Formats: sequence, C-alpha cells, structure tokens
Amino acid sequence: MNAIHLLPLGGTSTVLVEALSGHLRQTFRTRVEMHAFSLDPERFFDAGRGQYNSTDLLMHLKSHYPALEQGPGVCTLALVPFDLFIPILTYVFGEAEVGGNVAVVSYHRLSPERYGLPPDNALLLARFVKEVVHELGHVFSLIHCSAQSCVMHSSSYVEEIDLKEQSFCRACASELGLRY
Amino acid sequence: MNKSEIGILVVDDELIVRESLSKWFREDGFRVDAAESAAAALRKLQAGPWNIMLVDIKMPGMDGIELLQRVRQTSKDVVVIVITAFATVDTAVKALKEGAFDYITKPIDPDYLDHMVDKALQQQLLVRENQKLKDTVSELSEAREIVGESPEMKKVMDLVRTVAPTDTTVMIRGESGTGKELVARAIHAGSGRKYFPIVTVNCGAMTESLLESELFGHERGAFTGAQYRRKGKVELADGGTLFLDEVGNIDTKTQMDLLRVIETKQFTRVGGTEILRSDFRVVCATNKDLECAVREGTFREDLYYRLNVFTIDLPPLRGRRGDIANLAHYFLEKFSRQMNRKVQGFSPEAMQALKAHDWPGNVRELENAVERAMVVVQGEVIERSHLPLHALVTGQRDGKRLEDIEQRHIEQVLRDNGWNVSRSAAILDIDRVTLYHKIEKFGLKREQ
Repeated sequence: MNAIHLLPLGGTSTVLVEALSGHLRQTFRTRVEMHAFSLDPERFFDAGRGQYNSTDLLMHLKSHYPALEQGPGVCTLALVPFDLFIPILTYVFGEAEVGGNVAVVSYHRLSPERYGLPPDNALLLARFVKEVVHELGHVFSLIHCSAQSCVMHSSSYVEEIDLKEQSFCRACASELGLRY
Repeated sequence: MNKSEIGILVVDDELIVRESLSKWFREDGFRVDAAESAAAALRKLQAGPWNIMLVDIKMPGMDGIELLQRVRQTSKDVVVIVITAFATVDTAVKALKEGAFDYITKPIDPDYLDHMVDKALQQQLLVRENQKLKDTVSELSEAREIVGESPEMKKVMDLVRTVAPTDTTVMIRGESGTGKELVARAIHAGSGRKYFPIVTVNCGAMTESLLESELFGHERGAFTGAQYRRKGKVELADGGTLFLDEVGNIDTKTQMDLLRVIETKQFTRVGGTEILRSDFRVVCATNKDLECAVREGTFREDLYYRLNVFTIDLPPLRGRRGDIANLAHYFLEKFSRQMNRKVQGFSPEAMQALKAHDWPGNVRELENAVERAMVVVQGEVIERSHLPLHALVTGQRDGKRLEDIEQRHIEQVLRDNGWNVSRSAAILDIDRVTLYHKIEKFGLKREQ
C-alpha cells in the first residue's frame, strides 16, 4: 500500500490517533498522514437509535474526500469516538469498503469503562489498533480469516478482539504482499 | 467446506438491508446474492445452489412465509432464516411451523447473526450426512437384490465375492437389462469402500462436452450457462466407487482424459487449472463388444486393458431359465409391498408363459411385465392374460422387435437422403447426436 490518510472526527483523542499512527506505519510500512477536517458528524446521527450511521459516513467520505491522494493502495480512514451502526445490525466497530479506499472505525465500544471496568488506555489502544488494521485489511481486499490469532479474524465483541493479534497471519500478509 | 463455496441468498425489499447483509457476509468470504422480492428469490433459487436464505417476512406481493412454503416444496436442502422487524409469538411460531430454521429480529446483533449462520450450516451438514447415510444403507440393501440360484448366477456371485474386497478394476459385460448396475453395487457393497458413495455415470446418455463436465465438473464461467462451480462425478466418488455404465459409448477425447485420471487419480475441472485428487475404484459395464471396438479403432486399446482387469460376464435371462420363477416371485413380492396389494402368485399357465419367453429385455423386461400384471390383476393370482402380450410371443421375435423396425426405418431414411445425417435427423425428428448413437448402435454403414 502507498498511503493511509487519517481523519479524526467528532473530538477523537489526538493522543490515541498519534499512537495509532506509529502502529500503522510499522504494520503497513507506509506513509501515514493525519488531516484536520471540519466535518459535522451530527448529520449522520440517528435520533431513534442514538447512534451514528457508518454507511452514510462512509459514502460521505467517498464522495467528499477522494482527492486526498489518487491511486491504488491509498486509504482514507475516519476515526470516531461515537457509536456506529449499519441499519440491519445493532452496532458495528467499524466499516470499510472492501477493495475500495475508505473506512471508518469507532472506539466507542472498545474502552473497558464501557463494561464497568477501570480505565486501561493500553488495552483501549491495543483494541483500536486491531480494529483499524482489520478494516484497512478489508480496504486492501482481504476477507475474514479463520485463523483465531489473525487480525482479520471476525470479532463481534471486545473479548474476541482481545484474543487476536495486532498483525496479519502469514496467509493474509502474503495476500497483501501480492496485491500491493 | 470452503466459505466461498457456501451460498447465502438475502431476500428483502429494502435495498439498505440487502446491501448491508450482503456486505457483511461477503467480508466473511461467503458467496452472496440478494433478491428484492420473493419472485426474484425463487428465480435465483432455481439458477443456483444456495445453502442459506435470509428472508424478510414483510414484503410486498408474496410475503416471506409464502416464499418459505414454496422453498420447502422445491428446495428441501436450503436452510431458511426468517427476518422480522417485530417479533411476535404468532409470526415466529408460523415461520417455524413452515420449516424455518430460526428467526431473527431487526436490527440484528452481529454476534447473534454469525452464531445463527454457524448453527444453520452445522444443521445443514448433519442433514446432508444423514441423507448420505440413508443413501448408503439403501445402496447396500439394493445390492442384496440379486436373485439367482442357477449355476450361471452362482458363478457370477462367486466372482463378485472374490473381486469385491480387492481394489481391482472390474468390467461387467452383458446384454441390456441383465442387472449390470446391481452387480456393480454388490461389488461396492462387498468392498472396503462401502461407506463411501458409489457414483454412477451413464456414459451413453451424454454428448462429448456434457460427459466431460459430468465426469470432471466445471468452474464458474467455464462455458455458457456454467453459473456456478460444480463438482464432477470423479470428485464425488472420492473414497468410493466410480461406476461407468455403457463405457463403450465414450468418445475418443474423453477416453484419453479418463485413462489419465484412472492412471494418476488426478484431474482438473473444465475451465479450471487447479489439479485435484480423487481416490476411487473403477467398475464399468458395457453391452458392446469392446474387443471389436478396439480392432475398429473406436475404443482406445490402452484404456481397454486398463478397464478390463477382471471381467464378469452376465448371462442373459434366456441363458438361465431356472431363475425365471424365482425372479418373478421376487418382483411379485416387491410390487405387492410397494402397491400394498395382496397377490399370492402366478397361475400355472402364466408361469409356463414366463418360462417359455425369450426375454430380449432380460431381467428388466421381466420386472416390467410383473409390475404391469400387478396393476391390472383384480384377484389374488396373476393369469396369463394379465401379462403383457409381447411377453407371451415366443420364438417369433426375429425382425419383429420394435428395435428391428426402428433400425430398418432409420436405414431407409438415411439411404433416401444420401446419408446426410442432419437432414435425416430432421426427418426423424431427433437430434444429430442421437442419430449418430443409433447408427453406431445398429452398426449401420453406408453402401459403397
């Protein structure tokens, strides 16, 4: 891949995003840039559900921010602190355009405090890194992996995220290497 | 099973639901398609194999419950999960009564959805395994259907018992209707492969390209109409027995491919590049004189020697008249059970007629004659008059069989049209391939 453009939205923690950038550079061995855009996320808010529509956000990113950089292996990734949903599901940690160039990841459901546990920034960052790498994997055309420890293994709840590694398994890594 | 081979069909009138669920399953690696209505879903159901259907209950026109009823009638194997916006006991009970695997409410918990799909696939696997076991049991019991006390049949059964436990290739020769497939099943049932399938390929009923695809399978898009990957009979016979019926009718190109797969146990699907392996035993059958076909150059000599390792010759029924009474009573009992009728037996005249007949169609003809008699008999005894008339004509069949008349007619039409096969086929109202088969079958040759 050639570049990852990060768009922290809605008051996303800068500290968290900076730590994340380092991990992404290391994992994907590519250029990672952070951008500051003023985008009001409230337009994606669904009052009935009290959540934000990730598909709408993704489509907005795709149509409004395509010009950050052209070319294959380039991704624009929105990072948000609020809860995301797609209409048929109760929630999602993130969403990506498989084989496309946009993705969004939320850390709303990743913090231990949400589950009545004491704050743990290291754990929050680890989970966030895994979900971001996972969605970027989708952007770069990977599908879910059956290997439990691979970051591309599907996870629907945080304990499942904790079980997997931050990196790709050999097969997925090789798949990425072949493509980019 | 590879996830890309598992098909999920999403049926919902809301575009956003179709798109979201399709995307969700695609990320999991499944083969996914979506239908916007029940009618569209039924069309897609016909077009390809699906493992799971997610069906919204509330749709304009035909609703999800009606669709579920239709699916249960036509595709019993598909697991249907019903999606509903508001779960009511009534809806859930109705869906489950109609055969839905389960139901889920919108919006769906992602973990629950994954869990449900896993459960549905496990259930389908169990149902399929159960069906496979039933088929195996049925094949094993069918293999016991060989009836015969005559010395000729005792010799055949001795040969079957000798060769069955080995992995030797067997060639069964005999006239049409002598029970070649039953002998093949008996060989399979007596082998160490009996808990794996016996897969039959009727080589005489297909054109060259069809047979190739039937044997080796095809990849998606290999040819027009190949919408999905399909496993061939060679692949399906893995672990078991591949029974090649009418092996003498295989065209020369497929003979070469078959020889290669028998020798290497490796093959590729039509339109594919991946080399696949299958461990199978070959049993073949023919009613043709293959030695003659080898001499004439229509059957490969190397394939002939590869197939003709152990030969079993099945005698025609007229060559083992001592078995006719036993067979007739066996079929009488079989059809009595099937038709739930109480028929005690045959009158002496009927039995005499049965024993005197030449049976050009062999055991199959006898079975059909008894079945027909069972349909028309009113009392408890089958009389001579209940037996099909043609079965009672004895010793006068030369030139009078339907086949003889067909042969003469085809020959005449070919001669009248200067052996133009296309024109003759059009006049006979059959396709060219069928005409070629008949020319070969009757050994018709153009006069010089």
